[in-house]
Amino acid sequence: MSEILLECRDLVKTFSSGLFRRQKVEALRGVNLKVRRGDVYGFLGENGAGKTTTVRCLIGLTPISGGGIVVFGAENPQPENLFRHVSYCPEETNIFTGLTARELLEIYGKLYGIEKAKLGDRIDEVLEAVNLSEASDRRISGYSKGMRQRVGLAQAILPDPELIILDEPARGLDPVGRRQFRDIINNYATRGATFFINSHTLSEVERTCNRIGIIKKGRVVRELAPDDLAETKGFEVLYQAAQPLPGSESRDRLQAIQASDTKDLSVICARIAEIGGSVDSVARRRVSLEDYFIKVVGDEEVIS
Amino acid sequence: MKILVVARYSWLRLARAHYIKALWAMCFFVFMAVSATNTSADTVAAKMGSVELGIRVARICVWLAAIWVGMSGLSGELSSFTARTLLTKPIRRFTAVMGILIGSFLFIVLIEFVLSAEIYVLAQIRGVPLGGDFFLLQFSALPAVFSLVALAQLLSILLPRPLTGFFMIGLSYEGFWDYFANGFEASEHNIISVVMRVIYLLSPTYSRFLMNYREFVKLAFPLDRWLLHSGSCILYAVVCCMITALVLQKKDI
Repeated sequence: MSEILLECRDLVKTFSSGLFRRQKVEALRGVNLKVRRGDVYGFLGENGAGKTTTVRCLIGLTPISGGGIVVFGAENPQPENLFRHVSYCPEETNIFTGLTARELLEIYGKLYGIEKAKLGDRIDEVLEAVNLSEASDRRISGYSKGMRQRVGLAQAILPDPELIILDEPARGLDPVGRRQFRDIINNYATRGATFFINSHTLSEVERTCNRIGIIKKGRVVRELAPDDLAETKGFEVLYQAAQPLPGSESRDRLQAIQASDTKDLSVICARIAEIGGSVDSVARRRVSLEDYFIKVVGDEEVIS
Repeated sequence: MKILVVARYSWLRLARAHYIKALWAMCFFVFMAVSATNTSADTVAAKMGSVELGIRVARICVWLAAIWVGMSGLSGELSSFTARTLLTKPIRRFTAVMGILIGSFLFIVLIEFVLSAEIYVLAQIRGVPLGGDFFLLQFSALPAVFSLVALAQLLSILLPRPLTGFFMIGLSYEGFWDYFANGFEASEHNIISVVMRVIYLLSPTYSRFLMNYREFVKLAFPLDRWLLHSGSCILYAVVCCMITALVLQKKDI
C-alpha cells in the first residue's frame, strides 16, 4: 500500500450568514478521503455538493469547522509548511493578468524559495512543458482561456511538487485545450507526481484519473477506480450479418448485442455463425462514469 | 526576503492596473493650481500663494491616493480572487499582508515624488524660490502615509469599501476633528473623553503629523521628533498588518 499524502478526517465546514451570523449552512458534513502517492484523484460532485469548499479547506483558504486534514503526515499544517510539498492550480480567473507569464513565474518561483541561479532554467523548462515558451513575454491579459489555464498549471508545477491540487482545470477549454492539459497531467503523473483534480467534466476525469471520489451533500459517498465501472459479467458483441439477431442494435455498419455472462456469450456466438455472420469484437460491458455519477447523485438511498 | 517579492508583485499590480493613469490626473490638478495667476497682482507673493496652493492640492492628492491604494491593494486581491493564487504559496499571511502594504506604499512614494518634482519645476519656472528642504518637508509626511495605508488595508477587509472610505477620511482628515464634538481637535493636549481617546488612537497619525508639518515650514526640521514620529507610524502599521493577517486567517478567501 503506497503512502498516503493527503487525508481528510471527518472534515466539517459550517458557514454562518445573516444578521448576527445565526443562519448556519453545513457545507461539509464529515468528508473522509485519502489520496495516495501516485494517484490521479478525481473529485466529483454536483454544484453545491461541497467540492470547492473541500478544496479550499485543503489548501487553507477556508478555515475548517471540525475534523482534520493530514498532509504529508502533518495535521492541519500552516501554509508555509503545507506548500513546500503541495501546489495549487487555480481557475484561470484567479491569476493576475497584468504580468507576463515569465514575470509571474519569477515572482512565484522566489516565493517557493527556488534558488536564483536555477530559477531561470526552471522557468524555461516549465514554460516549454506547458507550450508557452513563445508567448512567455506577452502579458497574460492577451492570452486565450486555455493559455491562462496553462499559466496556472505552470506556476503549480514550478517547484516540482509531490502533490498538485487542480481546481476545475478543464472548465471553458476547447477540445484541443483539454487534450493539451490532459497530456501535461499524464506526463507529470508518469514522472511520479500525485494529482487531486476537482472537476465536473466527467469525461476528463474518466480519462485522466485512476481514482475517483464522489461527494454528495457534504460527504464523500463513493470512491472507485475507473476499472470498477466495467461490469464483471456482461459482454457486448459486435458482429456483421445480413439478418441481425433479435435484440441487436445497429452500430455504424455493425450490429451490437448484449450477453449477460460467458455461457450466454457462447450461445450468441454460435447463433451468429448459424446465420452466416462474423463476430467483429467482444468487450466487457462498461457503465459510463456519467451514468454511474447520475445514478449515485440521484439515488436518495445513497448513505450520506 | 519574501516580503520584498510580494512588495514587487503588489507594486507591479498597482502600476499595471490603470492606477498609474490617476497619477497623470493628479499632475494635471497640481499644474492647474500652481499655474493659477491673479492677474491683478502678479507679484512674487501672489505666485508664492499659488505654489502653496499647489502644495496643498498635492498633499490632498497623496492623502486620497493613500486611502484609495490602501483600500484597493489587499481588498482588490481578495475581490478579484488573485489572492487565492498568492496565498497558496509557502508564505505566512503576515508576509503577504506586509508585502502588499510595502508595494502600495512605494506606489504612494512614486506619486509624492512626481508631484513634488512637478511643483518644484513649476515654481522655478514661475520664479518662486524653493529650497532643497522643500523635498525634505514633502517626504517627511511619508511615514504617516505608511500607517494610513496600513489602516485602510485592515478596514477594507472588514468593511464594505464605501464604508471604509468614509471611516478613513473621517479618521485621517485633520479638519474632521474641528467639527467633531464642539470643536474638538485631535491633539495630545486635548483629549476630552475615553471615546475620543480611542478614536484618536485609531487615527493613523496623519492629521497629527500635518499639524506639526505646518510648524516645520517656519522652523528648522526637527529630526528627533520626526524619527520618533516615524517609529510610531511604522509600529502602528506593523500592528495593523498583524491584525489584518489574523483576520485573513479566519476569513473565507
